Amino acid sequence: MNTDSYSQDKVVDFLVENFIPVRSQCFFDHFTAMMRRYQVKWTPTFVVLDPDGREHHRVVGFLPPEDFMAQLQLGKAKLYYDQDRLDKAASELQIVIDRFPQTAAAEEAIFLLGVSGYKRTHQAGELKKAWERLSRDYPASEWSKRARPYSAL
Amino acid sequence: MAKQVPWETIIEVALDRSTKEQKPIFVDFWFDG
Repeated sequence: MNTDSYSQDKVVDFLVENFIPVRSQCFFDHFTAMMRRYQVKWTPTFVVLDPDGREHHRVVGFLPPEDFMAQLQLGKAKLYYDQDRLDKAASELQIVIDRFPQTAAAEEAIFLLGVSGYKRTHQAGELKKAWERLSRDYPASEWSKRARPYSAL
Repeated sequence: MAKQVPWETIIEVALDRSTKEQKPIFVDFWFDG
């Protein structure tokens, strides 16, 4: 449980506005049905699910409030990305990038925004833009390494 | 008075709400230890 994050009004507001929040207590001497269903092996673990209960994003471990909200927003974007609702995914990814630029979630969001843009337009320049931004603003990021092949496009 | 997260504790209730309210679900798996 991210106790520190939940004590902040802005986190509570963000959760209520964007999600149906569920709390599931874990026991390691007997796994609960929810632990088995979502293969939870350590806490805190948080997951983002669609209305059918399918998982789209997971984080294990404690995060400060800004990183926590950034990961939640990224999870929301990835839900739409996985459903091929690429316009909606792009707008949600842009929120991660604009609102939480100092977080690791922003790096992944830039990568996925480039991929979403390519899928929508079939323009390779969308991928190259992602590489350019990652290499400029987040040169040490793993996502910058993942996007490096796009530099040649 | 700090705000409180209005947690659901039953996943089926959350899934039903998620469909009706068109919102994703966030699940916090926590351990009281």
